[in-house]
Amino acid sequence: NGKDELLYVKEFRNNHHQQGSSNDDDIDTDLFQSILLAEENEYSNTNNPGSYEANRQDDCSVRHQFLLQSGLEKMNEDVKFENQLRTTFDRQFVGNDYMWIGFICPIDEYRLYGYVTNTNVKIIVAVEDDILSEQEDLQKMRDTEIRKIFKRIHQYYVDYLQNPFASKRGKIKSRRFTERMQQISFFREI
Amino acid sequence: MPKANTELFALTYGSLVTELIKDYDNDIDEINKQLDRIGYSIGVRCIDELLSKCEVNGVDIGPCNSFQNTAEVVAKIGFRCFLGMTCDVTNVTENSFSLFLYENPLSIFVELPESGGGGLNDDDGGLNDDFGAAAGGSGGIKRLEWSKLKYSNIYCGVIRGALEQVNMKVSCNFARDVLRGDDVNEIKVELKEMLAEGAGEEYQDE
Repeated sequence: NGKDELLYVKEFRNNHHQQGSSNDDDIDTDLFQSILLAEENEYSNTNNPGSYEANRQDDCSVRHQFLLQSGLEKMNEDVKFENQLRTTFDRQFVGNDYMWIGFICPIDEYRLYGYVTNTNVKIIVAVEDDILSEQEDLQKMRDTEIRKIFKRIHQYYVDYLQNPFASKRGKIKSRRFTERMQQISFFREI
Repeated sequence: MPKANTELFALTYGSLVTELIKDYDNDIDEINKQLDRIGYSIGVRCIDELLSKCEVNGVDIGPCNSFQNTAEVVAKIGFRCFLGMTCDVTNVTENSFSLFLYENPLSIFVELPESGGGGLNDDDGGLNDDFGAAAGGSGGIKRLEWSKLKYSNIYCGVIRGALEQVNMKVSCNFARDVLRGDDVNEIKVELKEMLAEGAGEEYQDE
């Protein structure tokens, strides 16, 4: 079982704040979120002391990276559990629905959502949110939005891989990819 | 004529280019030359196919009166027949013309790496990471000028090869390239000379 290697991590900051109090019913509040992509890989070098240099260049604060990594561990447990539950007669083995893990856990003021592809690439999105557990409808709406975001991220990742100059392992270093990820927080309807 | 899937075609060409880069040890000028040579081999064969198939399909290509006529045939009929796209002919003079390609099926997924970075690795096909270089030049990672790579140089070779079979010796090069940041792909074709009709040397009488 290999360790997870970090492919891409990013945090988003919104410069404009909502005027007045953040209303739970208002789902147009800006999301403050971070996104992590990781891939299971026996050649992973995340314990290599040389990789500290790399982390300093990432567009994400260390605290967020820490939160995302803990979410990743929890997600790996979830995935194992889920795989035991799923039988071969269950449902289709491809498609965005199959890859969706869902809400992993709340950490501090964030909620983490996970998604894993058939090639074991894991995507985690952390959303700043104060939906209480009673608010089922809000949770469902947030769920659908996040599903759409995952679909987009997966599509961007696939487009990145089709570039013949892209590396098959290791960090994602594509200008087009980073530009598109920057745009993600602005699109609410897909 | 049988058709091919665009994505498969683009991905195949992408692998060809990256393998060439690895084989020639990241030497960009050499790669451009090789792509041109490969295109040349393709071009000398394409022209016969074009001329014969078009007669069958009822498209009439008579002998060309002028170089402009040739340009039109290459752009409108040749490119459409083999690549499913057409391009515009501009800047026509007696001895040269430019082809503008607005869409390029070969480079639909491609993004050239940043210049000044490393070349391609042998093992995983990825770019050399910059960490070692920043720490003081370990192992001599080459600084490559990726913007000098003419990714679609194969087109130039094809045009050159095809026109040589009809006795026109041309030189062909990419003046502008979308992958390098320009807004359109421009191939400049210049007529060097008209070759005399005749068989090759080995068939001539002593």
